[in-house]
Amino acid sequence: MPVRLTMPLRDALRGLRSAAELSEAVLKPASDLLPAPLRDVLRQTLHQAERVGRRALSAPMPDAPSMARAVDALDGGLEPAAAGNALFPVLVFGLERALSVEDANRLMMSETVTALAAREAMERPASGRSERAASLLDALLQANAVAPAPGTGFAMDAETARRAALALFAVCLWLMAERPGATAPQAGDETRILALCIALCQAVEPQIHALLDESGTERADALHQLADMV
Amino acid sequence: MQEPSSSTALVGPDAAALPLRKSIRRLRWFIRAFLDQVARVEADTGNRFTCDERGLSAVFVEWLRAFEAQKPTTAEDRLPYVGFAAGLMLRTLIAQKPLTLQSRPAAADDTNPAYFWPEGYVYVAFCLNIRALVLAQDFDETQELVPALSELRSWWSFRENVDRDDNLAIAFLDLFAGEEPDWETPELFRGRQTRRIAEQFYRALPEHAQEGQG
Repeated sequence: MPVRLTMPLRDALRGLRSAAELSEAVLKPASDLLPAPLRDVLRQTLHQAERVGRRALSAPMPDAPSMARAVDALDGGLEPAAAGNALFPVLVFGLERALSVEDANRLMMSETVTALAAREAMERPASGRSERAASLLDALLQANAVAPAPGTGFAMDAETARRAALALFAVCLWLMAERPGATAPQAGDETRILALCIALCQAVEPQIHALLDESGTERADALHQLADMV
Repeated sequence: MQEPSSSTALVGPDAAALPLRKSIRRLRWFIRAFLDQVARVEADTGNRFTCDERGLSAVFVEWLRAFEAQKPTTAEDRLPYVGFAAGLMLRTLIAQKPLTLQSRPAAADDTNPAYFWPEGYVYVAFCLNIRALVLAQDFDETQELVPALSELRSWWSFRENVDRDDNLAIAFLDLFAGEEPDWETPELFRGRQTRRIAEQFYRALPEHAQEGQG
């Protein structure tokens, strides 16, 4: 298995992994109908796919320069294409982490869609970090960057939509949060700030849910206020 | 009850850059400071706790909203609001219960508040420490703790009353800090001007009317 897979192939593998993670639940109703040897082979195959998927897909934690570049993109310091490229790896890491904390194994994040949405969001007119973060959130939501994995048979119902929105909101908030400026970043700072953002979003979940029906301006204001609390 | 920790005990990552009254309004500082308090009580008492960090985030959000809702606009009310805000924090911690006792020393003395109500002891210690630090940093004032803080009967009453009405946590924290508690409506902040008007109003009433107010 190549170390770095191309983006659509990683999406395909991520979908397969989501299906594999559900293997026990999927197999259970059929387990009485299948002969035992066939049932075991199927289960082993799915578990093998899950293990391979985990190795190939774990997004690397962004280093300090990558984080600084992503924040710079959100501050409007980069051209749209460069801004999208700077945001993309950070978003992938953050969304993978947020979805795992949410235990949302029915959902997968598409790297391809995330990359396209980040680029599209950075092309929209916006002034200031909050407005760009709200544009990014809107583009990711509209594009279904986080959605049920194809082939799992799950639809985007209210519960999965809620979990997807919470993960996307938390990651946009993470990008907006203040970093310790006076001292050099410590290992684990970013994952700690991300964990705080996820926890904060969980604590204000009804507010976030209500914001999904609001305008970009209101979302930008809410992101700004919450970022001040992190 | 231990004395409030030294100022270094609760200094979070950005405390050097921000005054404490502002740092406490940041989730990262709040969680770090609370976990630091838990660790100190564990070291002092031998009690062991587990802390639900998601619950702690909920405490922070609920407290901050309550704090902002009654924040005074006049400078003269800033000082009394410090004590009230600490009381709001205690009320929220008691309501949300982010701590759970896992174990305690075999020979723990139940007449000691730290063992009588271990979680409540941590919550009170945390709120009094924050209160003391803000008073010292912003107002150059020293918090005076009262003997009731280490008396079992006070803790019996405290635990029983807040179990019935968690708003009473605000009044009990005032009691422990040597302030005059408001037992009737502790959840409402009364600034100094409001208190003055109320006192004048009741002084102006004839005696029989005052009895009717009671």
